[in-house]
Amino acid sequence: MHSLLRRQIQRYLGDPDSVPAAWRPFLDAVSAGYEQDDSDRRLIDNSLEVMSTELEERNQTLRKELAERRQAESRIEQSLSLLRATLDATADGILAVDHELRVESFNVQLLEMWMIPPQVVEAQSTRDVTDFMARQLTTPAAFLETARHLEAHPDADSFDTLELNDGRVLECYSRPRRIGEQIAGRVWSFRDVTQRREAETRLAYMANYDAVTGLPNRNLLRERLDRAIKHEARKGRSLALLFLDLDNFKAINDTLGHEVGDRILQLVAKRLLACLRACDTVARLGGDEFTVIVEDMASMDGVAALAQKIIENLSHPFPLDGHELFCTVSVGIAIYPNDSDNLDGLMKNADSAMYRAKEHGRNTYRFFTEDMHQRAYERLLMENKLRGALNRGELLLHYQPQIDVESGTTVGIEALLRWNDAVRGLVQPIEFIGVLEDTGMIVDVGRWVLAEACAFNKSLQEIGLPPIRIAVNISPRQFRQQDLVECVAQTLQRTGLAAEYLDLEITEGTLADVLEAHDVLERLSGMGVQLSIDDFGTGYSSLSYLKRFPINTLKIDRSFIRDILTDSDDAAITAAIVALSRSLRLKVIAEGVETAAQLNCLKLHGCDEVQGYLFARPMPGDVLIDWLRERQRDSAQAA
Amino acid sequence: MRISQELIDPSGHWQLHGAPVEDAGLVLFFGGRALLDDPAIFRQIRQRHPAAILMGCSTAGEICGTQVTDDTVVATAVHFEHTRLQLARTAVSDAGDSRNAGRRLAESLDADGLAHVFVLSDGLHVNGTELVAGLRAGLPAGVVSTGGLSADGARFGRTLVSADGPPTEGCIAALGMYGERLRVGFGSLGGWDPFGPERLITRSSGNVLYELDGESALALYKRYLGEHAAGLPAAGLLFPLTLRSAEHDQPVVRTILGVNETEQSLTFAGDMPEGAYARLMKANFERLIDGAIGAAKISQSLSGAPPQLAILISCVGRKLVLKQRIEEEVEGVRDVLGKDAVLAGFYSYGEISPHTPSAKCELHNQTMTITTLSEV
Repeated sequence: MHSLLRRQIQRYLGDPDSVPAAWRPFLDAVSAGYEQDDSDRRLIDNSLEVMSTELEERNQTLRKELAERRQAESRIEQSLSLLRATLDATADGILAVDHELRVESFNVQLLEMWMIPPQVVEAQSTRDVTDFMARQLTTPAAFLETARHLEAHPDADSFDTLELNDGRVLECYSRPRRIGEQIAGRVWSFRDVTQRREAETRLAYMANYDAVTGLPNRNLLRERLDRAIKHEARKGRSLALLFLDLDNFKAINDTLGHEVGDRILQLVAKRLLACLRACDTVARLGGDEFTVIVEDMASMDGVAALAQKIIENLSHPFPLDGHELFCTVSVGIAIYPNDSDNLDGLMKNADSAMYRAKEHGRNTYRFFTEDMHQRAYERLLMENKLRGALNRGELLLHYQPQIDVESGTTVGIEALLRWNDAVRGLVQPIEFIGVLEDTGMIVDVGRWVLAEACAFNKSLQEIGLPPIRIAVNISPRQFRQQDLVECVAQTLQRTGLAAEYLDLEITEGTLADVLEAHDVLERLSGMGVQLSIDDFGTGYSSLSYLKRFPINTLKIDRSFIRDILTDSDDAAITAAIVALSRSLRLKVIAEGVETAAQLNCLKLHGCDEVQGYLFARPMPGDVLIDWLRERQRDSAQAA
Repeated sequence: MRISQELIDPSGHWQLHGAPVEDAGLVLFFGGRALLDDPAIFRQIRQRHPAAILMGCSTAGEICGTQVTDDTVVATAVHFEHTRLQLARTAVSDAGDSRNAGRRLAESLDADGLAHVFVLSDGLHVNGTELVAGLRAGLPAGVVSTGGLSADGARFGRTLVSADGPPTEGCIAALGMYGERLRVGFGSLGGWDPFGPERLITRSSGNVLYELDGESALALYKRYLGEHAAGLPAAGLLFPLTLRSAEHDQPVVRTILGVNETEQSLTFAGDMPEGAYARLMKANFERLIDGAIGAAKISQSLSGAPPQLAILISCVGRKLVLKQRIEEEVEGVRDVLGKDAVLAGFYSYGEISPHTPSAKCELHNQTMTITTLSEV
């Protein structure tokens, strides 16, 4: 029974245990009601306590969260201000745009760098801003294309270098801006790299050029040499590498100081450049060392001549502050591919050749190989002598008769060049024709030969000898002269010799350029001049030109005639040439006929004319005149 | 419409209220599970009403007039003058089948002329929310279903339903009512006060709740129950949850059906979706009784005629709170509906009814749900 009910019964009704039994269920229900109320109250009390505790906990949590949020906000504010300050402190121009192409943020540098009026960015249109920028660029279309591409690809990065009309260079980076995985916009950043670009250009120059002379340095020399070697290798040509060392530069430097030394080096560089073709490279390796690359080297003596020219040029005094300073040079030469087929080998060999030049008394040049040096030296010597030979009257013509096989009469003579050197005596053409060709002197000499031969032939006619042909050799270089035809015509006119008595001998090789040769030959033939192919059978010839060109005579090379009796191949070739001439209606002449047996053989084959020691050696003009008169007498007697 | 009521007391004696109705078409019987388990009881009802549809269930208290009894059987025999009836039944073995069961029942009733559906369902093996959703989907537009989930006192052991046969577990019965002269009213109100903070359901599965705000829901309940925690799950009825979610037009109330100490979970009489917000509720005697009166008023205003029969289905939770004062809520209903209305009903594990006439039918807990019938 509930304690309260028990007390109430006690007070008002007496002993609770003696309550009548009939009242029991009623009192139980009342007791249960009291207990229910107590229980309900306790439940409510408890739940209120729990709830208030819980609410207090939540309150604490909220306070904590609020404090954290305030802290986070203050951190965000701080980082925003830091960001703002960073943006303004950077030298780069920054432009931030959102994903709808609205300008979100920018810094002062952006406006200054692009000279953008504030109202353009304040209008918040990214396109307006990029269009404004594009107008200042040398290639606006490319920049706008990039901008449109990035609009279409919000997740793309870009990096470009922009050149402005005012000469500035800007680097432009553009990156997407993300919030988590989402792309929220894009940040453009522009950096003025004009000064850096200029410095890079300067650096690149300094890396490759010598500061004192402005010539390429060792670095660039190696690069050029490497390229030149590869180029010449492809073309199958040679190149020369010259190492130059100033002989007494150290003394100048030590006594007069570096400043004077540097000025000497500059003057040396200038003189070196003056000696060279534009396509050649001259470099300063450092100190008093220079290097020259001669590409597409024409000939060994050409290089020797160049070395000599350099030595001569530098041997003149250098005028400096009222003084005259002398600074000679020693030159070492290495030839690709003869001396080495690689860069380092060539450098090393040119260097050691230079030391040999020093050993040989300085102010001189030296090839890497002694043999080559000797040859080049001799050729150079000959060249120097030949230069004056014509004027000094050292060149002269000898004449060798050409005989008709059938009749035995003299039908022509061949003019042959001779050089009467003061020291060496009579020099054979094989020794010096090459030098004349290489140096180009052949053109002047050839012109003289033509005039001399025509005049001589005319003089023969004038002294009453029967008119005969005179054969004159035309060198390839002479043939290529633009004025050859005019020159021949003028010569004939000046000497009064009829064209039919002039026979121009041309080698097969000369006719290689068929189109050009055809025109020249046609014009000569049109004049009435006779045309012969010299040394026929030795070159690589296309027989077709025989038909197409207005040629009169084939001259069988002496090498076939020499062994015509013993070598069946030579005999067969000779027979074939004669047969070919017959069918093409060309005349055939054989040179180098020395024996009667050879003559008989040629007669059998049907050769038209012959020339050789069997009849007469080449002889001076006056001797020939006597020889011709004697032959005339003999034939008259025979008749 | 003629109605008589019979009460079988715990000792098996029959008491008759009103003139006997010999030709009843329907007998609704509600009783203690122990009595309904006895096949003799059903046999006796059948013998007294051989032609009637017998429909009933086990309860947590029976309502007969203004009297609330325990461990009795109250059988209400009804003779309809103008109303045709059709009974549908289905068995449910698994709560996952609940929605389909509702649909099956709805579809097996003739749609033509269907005026109202009264449903009694197993109270422990059926997800009431799903059952109601199935019924709603299957019934013709405008046809409302009301009813409740059977109970087993405060034991939560086995619940039984009879669909014109001996009461069994896992059974759902749906009674279709046809006739133009039938007037039906319905109303449902709780009267519980929400208190304390709103809590987010952070872990749940169907009608099983694990966590609120990331903390064990069971631990929370124990804290609030204090000395009453030992009385779980029945004690959980003292603190139902009100549920606010996008799924429901209005907040719904959920009551505890079971506790799993191993899983630290609570099983509720309806869905407890994750993402919904839950708030504890507590009882206030006057407000509970006001709730019952409110439900009666709504129901009366809907029926359009003085109700002849009122079926009261009230939550077991209310009975646990009100205890001796439980009859006050039935008396409140009687005061509204008048002396002529026969009151029958039971204390349940869940109530089925729309909240308001315009709202859709839902499963409720902790409410007094009233269905009034009359013929005109």
